Amino acid sequence: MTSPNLTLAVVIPAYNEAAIIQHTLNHLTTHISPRHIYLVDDHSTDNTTRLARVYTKNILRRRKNHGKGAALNAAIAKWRLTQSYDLIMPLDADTIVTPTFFPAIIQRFTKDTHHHLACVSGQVRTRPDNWLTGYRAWEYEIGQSIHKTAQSYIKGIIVCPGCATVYRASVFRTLKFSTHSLAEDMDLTFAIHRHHLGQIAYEAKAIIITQDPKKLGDFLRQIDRWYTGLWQCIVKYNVPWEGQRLDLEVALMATEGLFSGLVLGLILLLAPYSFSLNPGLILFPLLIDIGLFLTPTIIYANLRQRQAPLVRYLLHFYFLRAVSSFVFIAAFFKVMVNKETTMKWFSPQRYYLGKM
Amino acid sequence: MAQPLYSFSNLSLILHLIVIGVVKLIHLVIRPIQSLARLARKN
Repeated sequence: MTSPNLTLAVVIPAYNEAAIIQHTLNHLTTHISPRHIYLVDDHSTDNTTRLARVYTKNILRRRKNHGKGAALNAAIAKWRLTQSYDLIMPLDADTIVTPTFFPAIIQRFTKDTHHHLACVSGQVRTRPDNWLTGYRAWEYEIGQSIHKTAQSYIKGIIVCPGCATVYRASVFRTLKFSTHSLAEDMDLTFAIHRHHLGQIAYEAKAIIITQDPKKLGDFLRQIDRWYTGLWQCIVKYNVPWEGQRLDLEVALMATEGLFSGLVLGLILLLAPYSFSLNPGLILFPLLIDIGLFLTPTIIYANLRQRQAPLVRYLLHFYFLRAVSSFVFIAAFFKVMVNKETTMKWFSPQRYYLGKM
Repeated sequence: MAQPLYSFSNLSLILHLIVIGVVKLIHLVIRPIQSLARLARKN
């Protein structure tokens, strides 16, 4: 893609994405010329490459599966993208770019005449068509329109989503995607902060639509990967001891996540005893949490997204919040105690998104 | 994308809402007042 002054390359790492790659490229080519689209097939065993070749000639097929970060690094190096483009956007194979995305992002970079920006991340949305994707829609809305907006104001954004962020090409002259992280996008965000490569901005008008797990097993594997990746980043970048705003944000979020999970576990363990002793001990904090935080934020997400009422999933959401907290604690022990550093691709089952 | 755990972050939610509120307040109230003051000084 080219604006009057800026050129942009889109790099898609793909591993067994035959089910959706055509749909993604079909949408993408309506916004950007195929000659600026680069696809890395990370040794897929299906016909991802053959299907993608219809849309772009820039395809790199890897002889071995090395993971997403390595695939992105290989593409940037092979086509020398840092030399031929101003901006580089990694895009997940399951992501649909809406018409507002590129104009909003390009405008943000165009205004940045002094090159203060290292990257601009857009807004990620999902289609809430069951209780799991409904929960994710709520998480995305709160995570972005409240937490990330505030983090953007105080220059402490924790994660630029791998599927919705455009980087200045110069970032990749200094940094590469981590090949040993389970959350390579979060790893890169932390690295940008640590190397002082520039500001990280959030642009709510730049919207992309991604696919999220529709099965509980896929959901659990995904959050396990995310939270394990987060703890890996915390260890790798010595959070919270470097005195940046990132440290403050991550420390707050991680402490609260651990604390909430432990308190919830304790409440559940002691529930039979304390309920017989004084039901108010359990019910009062529960009602405060549901009435003051969960329900209003669900209504807020619903109003913002104008989609089917998410409030009908209230009890499901409470269950998923509890499960998420326990996975968060388990990931903490995996990284901090067991020092686990395994890295593997994880793709939940893909679904055809239909007409957008 | 890797999403941090925010589903139980009630304290973060309050703090971030305060940050947003303060920034919006600056935009909505203080900046117009500053512009008016600048205009008044010119005149």
